[in-house]
Amino acid sequence: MGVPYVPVRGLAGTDILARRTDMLIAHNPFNADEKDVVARAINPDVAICHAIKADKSGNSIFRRGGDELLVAQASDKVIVTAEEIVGEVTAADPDGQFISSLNVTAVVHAPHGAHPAGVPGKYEMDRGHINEYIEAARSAEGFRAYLEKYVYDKTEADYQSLVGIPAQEVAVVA
Amino acid sequence: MRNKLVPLEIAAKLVRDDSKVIMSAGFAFAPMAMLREIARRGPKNLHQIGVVGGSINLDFLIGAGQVSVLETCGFGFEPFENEAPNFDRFLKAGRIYSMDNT
Repeated sequence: MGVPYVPVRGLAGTDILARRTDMLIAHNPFNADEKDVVARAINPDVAICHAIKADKSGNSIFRRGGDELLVAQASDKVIVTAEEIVGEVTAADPDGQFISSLNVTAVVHAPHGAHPAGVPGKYEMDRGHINEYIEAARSAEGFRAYLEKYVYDKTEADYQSLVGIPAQEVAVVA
Repeated sequence: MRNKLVPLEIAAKLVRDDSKVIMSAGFAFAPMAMLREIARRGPKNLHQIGVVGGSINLDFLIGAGQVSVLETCGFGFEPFENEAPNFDRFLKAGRIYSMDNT
C-alpha cells in the first residue's frame, strides 16, 4: 500500500502492545477524543509467491482468494515461481488473480515447485512426504538428516527424482 | 517487455542475510522449490512473515536454522497436526522470536 502505518481496531486492552515496538496507541488526527492502535508498515524486502502460470516478463496468474497481490505490492522485490511459463499472460486471463510484471523482479519456471504442498487443479499435496517431514522435524538431528537427504548438495531435479516426480523438461533461459 | 525468467539459483540471490521475507501460502501454493534453494544458499537471520498464516512454507527455513523472527497468525500443520514441528521446537528452545499478528 505504500503507507507508513495503519490504524488497527480491536487490539486496545490486550497486553500485545507492551510486547511490541511496532504498535502503539495514537490519537485519531481527525478526532482528538478518540485513540486507536496504529501498526507500523512491515515493508518486506522480498515476497516469494508460487503462481499457476507466468510469462517471461513476469505477468502472472495466482489462485483466487489468496493475498499474493497485497504481498507483492508491499514488497521491495518479488520472486514468482510458476508451474508453467506461457507465451503471454494478461489481466483478462480468467484463470485467477493477475499480478503485473511491474510488480515482479524475477520469474522462475518451477513445475511441481510446491511439493510436498499441492497446487489445486494440478497436483495434490504429498501426504506421505509431509508425514516424513513432520517426523523428521521433531528433532534437530532428524531435520538435519532430512535436509541432507533431500536438499543440501542436491539440485531441484535431484529432489524431484528422490520424491518420485517424473523428470520433465526444464525451461532454458535465453 | 524485459525477460525476467531466471533459474532458481539466480532468483534465490535476492534473499540475503537479515532479509524480511514474506509469503502468502500454506499446504497449497507453498513456494517450496525456492525455499529449498534458499536453504542451499543459506542466508541467515531472516525475518519471515506469513500473510495470512502459513504451514510448511513458514516451517521449512526455521528448521534449517535460517529464521530469527517469525511474524504471522494462524500458523500450524492442519490437517496433519496442530503444531508446525520445526517452529514448535525452535520456539520452546527460545531460538526464534515470534510476533503474533492475529
